Amino acid sequence: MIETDITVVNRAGVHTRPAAMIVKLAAQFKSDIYLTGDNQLRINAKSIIGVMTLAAAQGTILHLTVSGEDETAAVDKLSELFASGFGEHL
Amino acid sequence: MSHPINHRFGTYTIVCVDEESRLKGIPASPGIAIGRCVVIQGDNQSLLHYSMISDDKRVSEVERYQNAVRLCAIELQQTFQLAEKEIGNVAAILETYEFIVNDFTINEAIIKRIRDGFPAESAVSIEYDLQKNFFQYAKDAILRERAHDIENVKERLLHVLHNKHISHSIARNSIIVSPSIIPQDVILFNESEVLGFVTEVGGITSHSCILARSLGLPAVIGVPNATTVTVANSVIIIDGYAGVVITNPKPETLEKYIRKQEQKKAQSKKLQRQAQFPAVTQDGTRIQLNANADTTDDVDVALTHGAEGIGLVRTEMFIVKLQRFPDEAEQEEYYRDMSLRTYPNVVTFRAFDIGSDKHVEGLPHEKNPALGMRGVRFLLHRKDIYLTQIRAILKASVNKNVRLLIPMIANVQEIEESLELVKRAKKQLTDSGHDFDHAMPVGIMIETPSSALMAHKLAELVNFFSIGTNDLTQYTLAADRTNEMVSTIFDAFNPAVLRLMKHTVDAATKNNISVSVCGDFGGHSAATELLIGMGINELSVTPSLLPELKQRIRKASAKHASKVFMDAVECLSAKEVRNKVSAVRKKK
Repeated sequence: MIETDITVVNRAGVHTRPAAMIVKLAAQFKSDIYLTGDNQLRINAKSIIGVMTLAAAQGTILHLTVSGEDETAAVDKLSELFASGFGEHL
Repeated sequence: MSHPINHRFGTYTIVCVDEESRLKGIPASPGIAIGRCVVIQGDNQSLLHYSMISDDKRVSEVERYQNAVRLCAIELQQTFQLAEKEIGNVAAILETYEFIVNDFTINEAIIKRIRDGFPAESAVSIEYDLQKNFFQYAKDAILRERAHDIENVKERLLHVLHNKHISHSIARNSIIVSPSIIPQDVILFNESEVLGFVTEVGGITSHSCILARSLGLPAVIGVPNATTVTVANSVIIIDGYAGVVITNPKPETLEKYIRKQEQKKAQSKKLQRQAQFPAVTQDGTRIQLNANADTTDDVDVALTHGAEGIGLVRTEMFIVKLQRFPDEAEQEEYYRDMSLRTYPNVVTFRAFDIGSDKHVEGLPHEKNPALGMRGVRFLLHRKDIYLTQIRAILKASVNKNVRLLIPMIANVQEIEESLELVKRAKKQLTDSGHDFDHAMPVGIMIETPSSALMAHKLAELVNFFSIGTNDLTQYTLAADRTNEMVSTIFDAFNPAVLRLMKHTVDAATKNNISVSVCGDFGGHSAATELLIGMGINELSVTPSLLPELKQRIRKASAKHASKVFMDAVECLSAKEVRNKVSAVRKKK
């Protein structure tokens, strides 16, 4: 299992489009992937409604927990996605 | 055009339906539509109609639900593909709906309820409402809007469970009036040549509105009781610019709108096609193309010309129009209207750029107003006015598409004091319980040689730069731009001006902030290659210049432009620069 913190860097935060991108990416991995937000709610990153309920604004630090055979790749790719600001014009 | 008299076929009505009436709503998608009204009534089916289901029927009930989910997902997929062809990226909204309907957490919860004896409809309603409530009470305005998404998917599912569909074929050439409209319907409406739509629920950031705007389908939303006050099959007009719905229009009203519609149509059809293309050079450098706009009408024109945002709103034009300072409420309304019309694109409000050359209360006459109390100097002298304006702009920023731009920065103190006021305004709004964008970007105009020379330091303090080429040229070359005697000296192609711009762009790039050009130079046909060459990533020009400017960008190569620029800054004079640029253009 890998645990790490990731920061929401894009201005609009994790709204619908980024949520869809997270879910799409997470679904490519066999590992169980969870995100914990400010509200201490742990959600499954493969569920769009879950990710949307994170309501993570810019600057929010999310706790990422991944466990499974492809956990390293999953953590790398997800961190990359967050760091890119979901392709938003920064 | 004849005026319709019988609105209800074969029925008598005591309501005087012939009276023209205007309903006010929110302008959600620009355009004029005139057509027959199709009224879709809301679903008020109460959950009480359903009783618990018996043990032996539960398995088939789960299957009925799962079939509905599959059907819904297929429908969404199909409309997604349809939409993708037409509007590209924006279609992703529909994909999100597909994810929601397929979401395994909500699916599990619903199936569990059905296994406990709830009919599929109740299970769907309960679980979706639970999720919806979560969003409805979110602190963030944009998140609250997501409650609509959940509601939309729920309604779609319930419709499928009921085997109910809006008959899109009868909707041809009509205007749909409905309590709410889901994105999927917007796509299908467009396919079946619906002319526009009116809804009762509001929310300009809703996905249906975003789709309508990208499809050019006029829409007015947030019209209270729209479905009860409009009469099916009667003629209605919707004005998506002003957010007005007119029922039973008088012949003269009808004529007026037909004229307005024709005017707008002629302008926009061709432009809209071109507007779809991004401003990308041959070798892949993307330039964000914005427009300068001072009124809501300008915004509409800008968007039809393919603007990706509003790079400059000269807010002082509002003072000119009123002949006095607008109060906070007036300003807020104006800024909000502009930001709603521009959404989801960004709108940049430049704080009042006024000085003693434009008769302002409390300012003595100055001998040399261009070098006197203007722009931020005036604002810091009248902090009451400045603070009021900042508060009004902040209040209009709830949808996170608003930027504040400070004019005439000449030294760092002016930035520090301005940022201090922004902080104070935010504190005041927080204390009074107002919603606003806490991270609203604040940028500065680079229009004095001192700010350009210090750009590498100033870039650390602000979120973006906007180069005002007219003033930067005037101050660098010490040539009054309004004085004809020195008009040959006033020339933005002067290598000294180009060097200052380049220094500004490099400072911005190094600090990873955006840098825009909003002066006349930005739209000049000979300047495009120089601008790309110096590394500008954003331009803001008069809307009418956008299509040509975009074409020039699409023809250019960033690599080549960079070489042209390197040569240009080595020139001795503006004339030499111009010759070089035009020689290059001829060679092509």
